[in-house]
Amino acid sequence: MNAQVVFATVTGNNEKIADIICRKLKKLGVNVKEIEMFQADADEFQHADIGVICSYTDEGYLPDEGADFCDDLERLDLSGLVFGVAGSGDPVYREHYNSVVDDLSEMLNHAHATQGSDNVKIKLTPNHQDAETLNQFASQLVKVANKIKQN
Amino acid sequence: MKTDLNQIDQKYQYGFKDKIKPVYTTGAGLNENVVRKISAEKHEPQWMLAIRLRAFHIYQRMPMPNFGPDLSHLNLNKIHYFQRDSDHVSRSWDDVPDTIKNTFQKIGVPQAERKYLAGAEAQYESEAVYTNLKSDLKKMGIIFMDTDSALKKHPDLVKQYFGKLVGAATNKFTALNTAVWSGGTFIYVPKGVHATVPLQSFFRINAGNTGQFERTLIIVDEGASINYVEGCTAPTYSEDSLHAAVVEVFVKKDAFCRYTTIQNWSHNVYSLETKRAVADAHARMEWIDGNLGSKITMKYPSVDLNGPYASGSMLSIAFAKHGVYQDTGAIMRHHAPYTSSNVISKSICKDGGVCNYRGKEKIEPNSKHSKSHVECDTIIMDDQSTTDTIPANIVRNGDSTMEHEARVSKISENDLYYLMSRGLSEKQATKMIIMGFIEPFSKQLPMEYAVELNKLIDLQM
Repeated sequence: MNAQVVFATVTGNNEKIADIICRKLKKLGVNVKEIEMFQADADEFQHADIGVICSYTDEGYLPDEGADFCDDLERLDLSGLVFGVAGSGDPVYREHYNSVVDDLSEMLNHAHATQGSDNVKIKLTPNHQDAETLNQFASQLVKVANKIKQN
Repeated sequence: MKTDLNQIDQKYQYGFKDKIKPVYTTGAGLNENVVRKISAEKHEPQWMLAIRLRAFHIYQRMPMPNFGPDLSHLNLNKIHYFQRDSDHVSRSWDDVPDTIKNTFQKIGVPQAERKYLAGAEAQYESEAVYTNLKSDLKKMGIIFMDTDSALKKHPDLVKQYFGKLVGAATNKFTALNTAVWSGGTFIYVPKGVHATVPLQSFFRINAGNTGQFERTLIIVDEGASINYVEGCTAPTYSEDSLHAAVVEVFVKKDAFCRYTTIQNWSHNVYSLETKRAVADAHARMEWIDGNLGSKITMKYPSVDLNGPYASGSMLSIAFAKHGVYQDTGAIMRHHAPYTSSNVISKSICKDGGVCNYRGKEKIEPNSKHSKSHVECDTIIMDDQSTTDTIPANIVRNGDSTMEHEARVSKISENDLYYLMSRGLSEKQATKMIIMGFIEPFSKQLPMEYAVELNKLIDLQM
């Protein structure tokens, strides 16, 4: 099974989130490719079984460096992909707190991908409890992907 | 030369406004009901309503663009999102209502047609009121109609391509357009067919506070070619108007497409457009883009070069006078080896106008041996005007080349002195220099557009 984990980060928090997810996925025997959104190509999601995006929210905007990636995302047909979206943000931004996490999962749903796990929103740096949530998030994705493969 | 000078003093000849009472309007402002009403009014299939509603929800949650000109004066709640001033799309010129005919006569549609207009489709307010297909085009199998009719007559084609290049979530205004689109041009050129004459369409905003949200879809199938020309003039009017168009162009293998626009909105129009094309192997896409009017223009036509040896080009001019903010540019994305792109942007600012070039060239790792060239030329005519070049050039492999040149200058004193020593006035000499500057652009236009462009530049000077 192949997974593509894409992250966009400014403070490093979202990279940490991506690292935790990757570690767990690897433990579960998945081939993982971790890549920055700036370098990522949305097409590669078409060849993966699991797609994960970890992104910050720029006052309600998608990360600028990932504009092309996000743009391509909703125009692709990603049926067959199991996806999950996680993100770290600061509640100081109120209604924009991690709003991109919801936007991205709406776009992936629109591209006919299957949501494998609920969106995860993390406050600033992930702590132990968050790490546990992310581990469950990763296991859930693998479980759903396995189920789809069997069918 | 004398007659030319007289024209300079004329009032803006396209600054008139016809008295037309819309037959149907959804009123000012936008909510989910308005979106449903628009769809119902047009008897659209369920899938289109679903696309509209999704886009409307994205529009609601998306913030305004966080770059470029200040859009805070644009009051989106005051805009009429849909109105229809003609009950049905007319096929022959005789069926077009007289007042509307007058407008088109003033901007010269009939003359253009007499010359070599193959199929004219004119967009008045939000709907095409005049559609004429020359039988030759029909025989060749070219479909040329407004997008609303295309949705009725060729639903499968529209469904296959609609929104596949410009997604609703691309930016706030693509979301808005997708939610409330109306009118626009639909062209399908079948495999191997070459449209021998340019297809043309005139756009025009009439009543104040009317949003125009046309949706253009062009599909050029394998080995085919097409030259599409779009002209926009708007009458002067005091309230703010919004023009948020979306254009999607699909250029298949070995095909060719040239898309020419001359935009001359009056100085109260916000022109926020998204134009995107995709070129497959050995295909070529050309944007030719003239921006003369409007209050604020934000337009960055793009080409995705998706097949080997595909090429894309953008040739644009922008003219900004006092109170005009032109934020334009081009986006070229290289996704395949041996692709090439060429961007030439020329701008002129005067009396405190602002012209920006904001572009992006991206050469991806898989596009080895690609070439990209960008050229930005600006003439600043006085001390109050400003210009910026904001390029993003990204090369992600070692075998490609990218060139970027930018040049900003005033009108050369030497040139002026030389011309004036030959008996020209300063005004005439300046005009000559400007005309020379934009010549590479006007040379690419069909005859009557080149004439119109020259007149418009005259009026702006």
